[in-house]
Amino acid sequence: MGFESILTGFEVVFAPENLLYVFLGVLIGTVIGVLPGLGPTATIALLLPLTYGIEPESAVIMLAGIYYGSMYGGTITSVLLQLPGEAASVVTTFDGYQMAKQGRAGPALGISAIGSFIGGTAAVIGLTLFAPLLASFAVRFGPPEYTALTVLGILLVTYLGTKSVPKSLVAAALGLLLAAIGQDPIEGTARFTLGMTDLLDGLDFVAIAMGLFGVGEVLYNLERGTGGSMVTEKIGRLWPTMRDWAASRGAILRGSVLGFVIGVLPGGGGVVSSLASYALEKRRSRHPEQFGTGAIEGVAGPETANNASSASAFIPLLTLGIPSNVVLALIYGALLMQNITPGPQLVSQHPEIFWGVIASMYLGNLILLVLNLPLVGVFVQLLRLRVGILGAIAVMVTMVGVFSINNDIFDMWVVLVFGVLGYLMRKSGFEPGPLVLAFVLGAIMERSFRQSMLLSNGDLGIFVTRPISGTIVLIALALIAFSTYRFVRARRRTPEPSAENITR
Amino acid sequence: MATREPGRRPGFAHRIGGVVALLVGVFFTVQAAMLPLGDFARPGPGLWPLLVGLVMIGASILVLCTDSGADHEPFTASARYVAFGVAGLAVFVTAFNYLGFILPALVTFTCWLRLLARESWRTALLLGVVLTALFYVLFVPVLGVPFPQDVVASLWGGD
Repeated sequence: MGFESILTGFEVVFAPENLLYVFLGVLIGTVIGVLPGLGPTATIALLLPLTYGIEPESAVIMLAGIYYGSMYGGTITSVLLQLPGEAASVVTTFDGYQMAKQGRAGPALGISAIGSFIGGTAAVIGLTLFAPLLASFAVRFGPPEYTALTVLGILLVTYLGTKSVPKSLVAAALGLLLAAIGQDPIEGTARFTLGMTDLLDGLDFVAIAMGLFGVGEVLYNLERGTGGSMVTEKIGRLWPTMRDWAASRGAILRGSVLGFVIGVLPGGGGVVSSLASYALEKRRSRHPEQFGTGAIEGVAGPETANNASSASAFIPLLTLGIPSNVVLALIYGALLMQNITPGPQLVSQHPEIFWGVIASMYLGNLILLVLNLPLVGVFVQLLRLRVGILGAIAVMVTMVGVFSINNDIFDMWVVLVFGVLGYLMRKSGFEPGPLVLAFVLGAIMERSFRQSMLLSNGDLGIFVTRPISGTIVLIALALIAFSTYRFVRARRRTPEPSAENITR
Repeated sequence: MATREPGRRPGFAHRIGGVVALLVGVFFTVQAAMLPLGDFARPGPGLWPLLVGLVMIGASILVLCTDSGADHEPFTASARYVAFGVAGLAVFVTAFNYLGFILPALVTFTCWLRLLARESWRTALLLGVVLTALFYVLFVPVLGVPFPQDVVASLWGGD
């Protein structure tokens, strides 16, 4: 890759309207990261229809900003209230809240912001260097490789970061079946339409995502009835002392690398990377007993890692066209709405998107550092906003927003039905994430599977004999074997706590 | 069989999810089997969903056999708010189709804020008016979304 390429990206970002979208994205991200009850997934789902009217690169730049911005914002409530604003910040509550109780909320927030900035920026540099290489390698992928890759992606997502593998598998299978509704992609035969003409074009991805995440989450919060909360801890000075800095320097460096690597894996962004970093720091520490009582490394490492992973999670999407987690699946959906299919050709066909997003992350992380250090007090005030009012606004944005995409009342009903499904899934321990991801991958998976079968004249061996797809299949099989082994072993012994399960 | 947390009442409730998943899997599998299947050399429209349907059935059975119910949250009395919310939205969508945005949105916002968010009537009504106005301005003049004919806006000649 040439140096000019990233300059192309900066040209895109420094266009005035895109500067505004970067700023808007990271600001919205921080705000919703602070607000409990509305995570990045729900917010991005809610805003999808609004991105339809803007340029694709601006849309992706803004949505990406919301994603990594929420990683910063989630820290604030974790430290001050022991309330993670989004899932990846759960780990921060372990030591961050303890630090706040000792009057050290400021340094906890300060080191998180600095760590997040370093991790995020390091990962974007990695993204700048590796993404074009991977894209040029992936251009050679044919249908068998895509089939294997999507299968591996779904397997990893059902395996990593989920509570119950069988339940996630059910959710993923349901997502694939829902994707099959409508006309068959090759022959045009109507499938599973139950005679409804509205279903001939299939279910709209945006409607499903908005229902499951937007409405589903609001309904779930209605039952729990969370009220507004007040911050009682004083934040104090933000800048960490030399001792804090010395203690967290190593954690930040390791968190950057770990977060980057884990973020590339499907299902690896966010919470998995922060859990892994926490486990690593605790194991390496000379005083592991201090973890959980306010060790600053336990805040610095995970916060760095989750930000690094949220940048590197873009690699599979931008180079292979495979979203590696639910948020990326939504961004993928946003691009599909604009008739752009992400894949290895993205870098050559739409360099403004590929390089624009990457360049926007350098700037976005810088804005976040500036926003978070001096303005943390302002964001804390947001906690006065009551969840109930937020819910009313969120459902209306969803309903009207989904109507605005196709001007079709039918989509509103789809949102409502999937909202109820999302609520019921949460109640019964099924996660909606794998369903949405599988729904997105479903069309690619079916098409590439059928094309592979046509290529090989029905010989399933085609997936194994080609070197790249063979390797991927091998990894998938190893994963299945490993998880079965662990499952059998775990059933014989008492179950371990889930944090330890995921990291080991 | 499944191990249970101490103190949790053994029951059937947490299995409903698995049973429903199984039924959905069977439904899709049967429907897929009725489509032209083709063979592996020339897959028909039914082959892929049939394979996925079988995976879903298998995974559902696995859930039924292994689920301890530890992640199942029992429905509390507050679940009625969820039912009200869903019913309210269903009424909104129906009314939106016939009356346009303003009136249904005003009623939905106000009722939601009063009954579900438990604000006072004053706050609910005030916020309801403000939010309805904001949404209308954002979606109709600014974004130009063609909402159904609006009974309120037509009073002053808008649409």
